[in-house]
Amino acid sequence: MTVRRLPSLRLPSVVAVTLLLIVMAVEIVLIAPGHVLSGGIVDGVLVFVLVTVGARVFGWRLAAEAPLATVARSVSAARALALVPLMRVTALGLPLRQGSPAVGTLVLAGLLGSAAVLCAPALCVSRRSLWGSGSRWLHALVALSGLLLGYLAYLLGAPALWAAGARPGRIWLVLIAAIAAGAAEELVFRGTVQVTFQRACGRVGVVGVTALFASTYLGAGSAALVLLYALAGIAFAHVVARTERAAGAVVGHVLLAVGAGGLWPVLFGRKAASWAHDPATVVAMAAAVVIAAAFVLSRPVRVAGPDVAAEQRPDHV
Amino acid sequence: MTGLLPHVVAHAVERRSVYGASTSYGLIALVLLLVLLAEWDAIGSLARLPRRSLMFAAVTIPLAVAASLTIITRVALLIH
Repeated sequence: MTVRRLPSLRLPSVVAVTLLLIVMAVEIVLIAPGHVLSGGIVDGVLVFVLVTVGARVFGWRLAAEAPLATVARSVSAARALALVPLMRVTALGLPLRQGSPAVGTLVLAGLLGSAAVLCAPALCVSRRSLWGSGSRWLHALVALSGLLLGYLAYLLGAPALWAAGARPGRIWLVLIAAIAAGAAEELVFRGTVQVTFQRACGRVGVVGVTALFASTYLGAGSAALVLLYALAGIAFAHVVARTERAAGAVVGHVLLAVGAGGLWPVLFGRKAASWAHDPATVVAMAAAVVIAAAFVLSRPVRVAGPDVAAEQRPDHV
Repeated sequence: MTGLLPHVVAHAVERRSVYGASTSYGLIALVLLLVLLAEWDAIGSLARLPRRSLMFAAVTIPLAVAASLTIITRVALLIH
């Protein structure tokens, strides 16, 4: 394993980070009620630009100004980023009916998870790295941290996955949907988008993709809960940044989702802690996120591996 | 609760009828699918780039499934 620090951000990396910020801004706008249609249209344009025109112009324009490998990494990052707006456009395109979000989530998780696995080689991410664990103790640790973070999410008022008195069939469906959604989110955000961004932009890319991940949870209900998901994202991102393997993050996210909405409410009841909505809780969570982000920014990330050599093939740009 | 399908998005689609949702939100997915397929075909005729084809396949398959499910639902509603 080669772990080194990136010397500095080049122009292609700056363009990739700018695209990341645009996608994040759309995510934030889309989450506001009343802007779903306009957000969806912008997301559709973003998918097209990131997959086709943008990546091509990006490659042509910048190839003259930066080494081919740097441009190829940034183009890969831009293309991987297309999976995020694609997530929204596909969700809006599904024929969801009242009471069917569990089925919708399951279908969406299957589609987006498959898309991430399918496009991984095109982004110079080996499919094995999506499932592999690299340093096993580190992945086991982050997987178990999912249970702890899930307990914290439960205390902060994360909604239960199923209503009290739900039938066993419904409970199984919701549980499978939560597991599939957690796995798909990690394959998209950590497995493909983060890995390509950390190669293009180093630590800035890792923190940027984590912020994008947290922005998809802005509708979670409370600020403390959104910050908790940001904290979980940082923990998962750190392990992937060190190893370029997503297994621990996938298991951790699944345990977080199932623990917060299923396991802990069944064991301890469905009431959130009395301090869940205190301003002090939000401040404490924000401080934890800042400290965790500073820790990630201070650590080197894996920017070279067996897949990177293949990026320099001329057909990639 | 998942970032994959936020409550705002699910609620926006659910509160419309299948016809209403498919002619607004569904149209975005359908237009994007057609544009991407046209672009894929154009690129495919210029050169053989397996990596780019893989990327196009990854992006178009979810859209194609979503569009197909919407069409099937509309046909099913029409028959009933």
